[in-house]
Order: sequence, then C-alpha cells, then structure tokens
Amino acid sequence: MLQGIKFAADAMVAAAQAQDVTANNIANTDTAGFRKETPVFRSFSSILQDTLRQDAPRVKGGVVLDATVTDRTQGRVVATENPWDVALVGEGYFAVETPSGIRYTRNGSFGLNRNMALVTQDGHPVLGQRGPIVLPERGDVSISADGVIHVDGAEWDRFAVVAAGEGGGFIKEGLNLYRYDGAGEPLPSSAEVLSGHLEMSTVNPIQEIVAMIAHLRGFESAQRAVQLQDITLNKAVNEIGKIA
Amino acid sequence: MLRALWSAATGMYAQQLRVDTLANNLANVNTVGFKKMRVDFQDLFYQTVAPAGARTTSQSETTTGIQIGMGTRPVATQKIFLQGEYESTENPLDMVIEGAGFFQVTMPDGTIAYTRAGDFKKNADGMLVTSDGYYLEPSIVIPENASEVHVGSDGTISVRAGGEIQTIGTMELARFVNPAGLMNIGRNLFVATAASGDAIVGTPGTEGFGTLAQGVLEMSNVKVVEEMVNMITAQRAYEINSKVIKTADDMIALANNMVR
Repeated sequence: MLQGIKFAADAMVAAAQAQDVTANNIANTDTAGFRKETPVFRSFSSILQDTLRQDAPRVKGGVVLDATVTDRTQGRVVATENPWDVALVGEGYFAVETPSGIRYTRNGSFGLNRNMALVTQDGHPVLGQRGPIVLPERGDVSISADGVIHVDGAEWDRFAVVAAGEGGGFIKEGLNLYRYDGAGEPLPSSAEVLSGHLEMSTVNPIQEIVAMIAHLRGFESAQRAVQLQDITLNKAVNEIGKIA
Repeated sequence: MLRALWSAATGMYAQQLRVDTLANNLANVNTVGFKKMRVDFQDLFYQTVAPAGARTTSQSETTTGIQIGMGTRPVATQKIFLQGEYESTENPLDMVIEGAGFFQVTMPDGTIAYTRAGDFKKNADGMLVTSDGYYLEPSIVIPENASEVHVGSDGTISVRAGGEIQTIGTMELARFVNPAGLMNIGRNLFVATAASGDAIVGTPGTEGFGTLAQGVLEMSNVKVVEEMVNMITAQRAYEINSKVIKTADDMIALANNMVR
C-alpha cells in the first residue's frame, strides 16, 4: 500500500485536533485571565529519529500534534472599578486553596464571603502570606501595586503571587485553575497587582479566525491527498492488472 | 472534531447569556437604585491527550503536553455595587444613600427586603412607603398637620407641625459583609442569602454606613456607552463561535466525502 495515504490521514487528525484547540480559544474570548493555547506540530520522521536513532530505517512523512503551548503574553487589562477585581501585570499567578490542594489562577475576579474571607467565584479562599486572606469587619481597604493589602493605612496581608521556578510549569486544570508541576514550590513573583482591574483573555479573535481557516484548509488538502492516492491505488489495483 | 463543535456551542451559550444580562442592564438604565450585573466566565475542563513530562526516551521527556479544552462556562452574574449617578429632584421624600447601606423595606409577608431606591411616597395613613406601597422599616408616620419634612444626614426625620419642629423618627440602614451575595427579587429589592450574610443594621453616618441626603435620587449605575461596547463584542463573539461550528461541520462533511 502507499505510505502516503497514512501520512495524509495523520495530517487530517492533527488538523482536527488543532481545530479543537482553536475552538476552545474562541469559546474563551471573554474568560477573564484565560491564557490561549497554541497547537504545535511535529513531523513524524523527527519523532522516529528521536526514538530509533540513526540505525533505524528513515520514514519521511507524517505529522502529529506534538504539544499545546500555553501563551504567556499579558492579557488586556480593563478597568472595572470593582475593588475586588484584581489584575496581574507581569508573569505570575494568585494562589488559591481548593479541596484538592493549592491551585493557581490569573482570574482576579474575587469577592468577600460572609466570613470576610477573600474568595474566587467558586468560593475557593485566596491565599496571602499567612494562609487564606481574611479581612477585618471594618476599615478602609486598599491594595497597592506590590500586592500588599492595607487596612486603614496599615499593612494587613499580601497576596501570594508566584511564578514558575527552574524547570517547573503551570498546567491547566480548567475552571480558571492551574496546577504547579515541578520540583519544590513555585517562586515569589514580582508581577504588579492592579486593584479595580481585570486581565481579560489573551485570545485575539482575528488570529484565531486565521488559524481556523488554516486548519480547515490543511484538513481539506490532506483529504484531497487521501482521495488522490486512493485514485492511484484504484488504478494500480483495478486497471494495471486488468485482463483484456 | 466533535470537541470543536461542542466548545463553540458553549461559547455561543455564554455570549447569549451575556447579551441577556446586558439587555437587562440597558432596560434598567433609568431605574432608580438599579445595580448593573456582569457575567463572569471560566474555561471548562481539559482533556489531556499527552501529559507534560512524559518520557520520550530514557534520557528525555516532553516539555509540554497536549491539552485540549472543552470550551467555557458562565460561573457568576456579579452585581456591581458602584454608586449610581445622583439626580436632584427637590421632592422632600426622595432620599439617597451616599456610601454603603440599604434602606429596609417590610414585605407583605413580614420579611425584610433591602433597596437602594429612595423614591419614597406617603400613603393615605401618612406612612412612608416604596412605590409598591411597602412600608419602610422602621416605619415612619408623617403627622397630618405636618407642613415640611426634613431628613438629616444621620437619618433623623423632623417635620414642622403647628409652627414648631418636632422629630418623628429615624431612618435605619442595613449593610452586608458581601453585598454581591444578595439576591435580586425584582422591584428594586434585594433579599439576604447565606452568601451575603445577615444584615448589620445601624444609623446613617456611623462607621461603615453612608449618610442620607434629601431631595436627591440615586439613579442606575448602568453606563450606556460601556454596555453598547460590551454588546458589540458579545455579538461578534457569538458570530465567531457560530463560524467555528460551521467550519467544524465543513470538516466533518469533508471526512464523510472521503469515501466515494
């Protein structure tokens, strides 16, 4: 059989997966703190070389979706005038306490619960320097750019804002949360904390539409390639061998 | 492929909800004491096709995995309790709270509801009521022979009756630890929930409470231009999600057409 038909099918699968990634980006154009994913492809031969080294037969062709890379550019910061909307400017994540352990988020749409604890939209406590941030019943609260929460002018607590250490990274878990993957703990971050603002999604609709068209056309070309090779095979099987 | 279809469908649903909320905000652009709402979204769960850090050889591992998200979901409609604009009406029974706090209203079933709308009226018995005829809590009765009503910044209500000024009652305000947790019940009213916590009742002007002003109304805090811009972006985002559905459908059709 022609190996090309397999390669073309691989390309269709990869384009379809990439389209899924793009669709998720587009669905999250209005999710505060969302970081878009970029699909990265890799040729199959390079993977094979990695695994089998030089002594293996070289197969040239094929493609797979190799990785989805989380884009870490700064999202657009918009003013909301809501004091508990907090945006991060620069690389970093807020730490929150969830039932499954400490998780991280860039969505700073926080609020106070009935116990005066600062929580995310899902009710997970936001962490400060001494565990969950709990505010006093009274007092004027202000947040400075270094993440310090002041009550009546005196320092009360400071947001735990962290960034990845050497070799570590943040992995998406959904619901605006990330898990830290790496040796040890993430490091303190120097990202600026802006109260009364929200960081919007990093998705750029124009880029995504272009990516969507590219994936569609790539899929289409690969499909044509499958069909053409099918025609070739058809000729080989049914016409060359035809007995007059 | 089907993932793209469903992700886009969640995106369309989210934008639809956003337009619904924006429409309600815009419809209430002239509603006294109205507080605008905003829909907050979250990304949905991720399907990990290949985990980060998987071994490729005995010496190397992948640096990033493949994660495919499943779209978005609305997580909250956040009430924004920013102060609305003031409108001077010179009507002595119109009041505004400058700062935090809510007026307390007794509902027909005896429970207490809370409002920022200070457009009070006097009923046939001389009692101060809301536009729906619900009594204020504590109730204030204006004597029949009263000629002038004066509301002090600390909530003291005094009238001129028979040539002398007499105090007839004091307005009390309620505030909440988490006002965003209050529930809207329509008619400009909110009720307390487990999320908002119980009402803390106090005198206007004391710690944590705003002061009262007479002859002024707090209008809606909806800003038309802001809502219009939001509506344009919501409509375009809806459109782009529908294009994703169309594209995903085209791709499925292409795959179906492979077999001649």
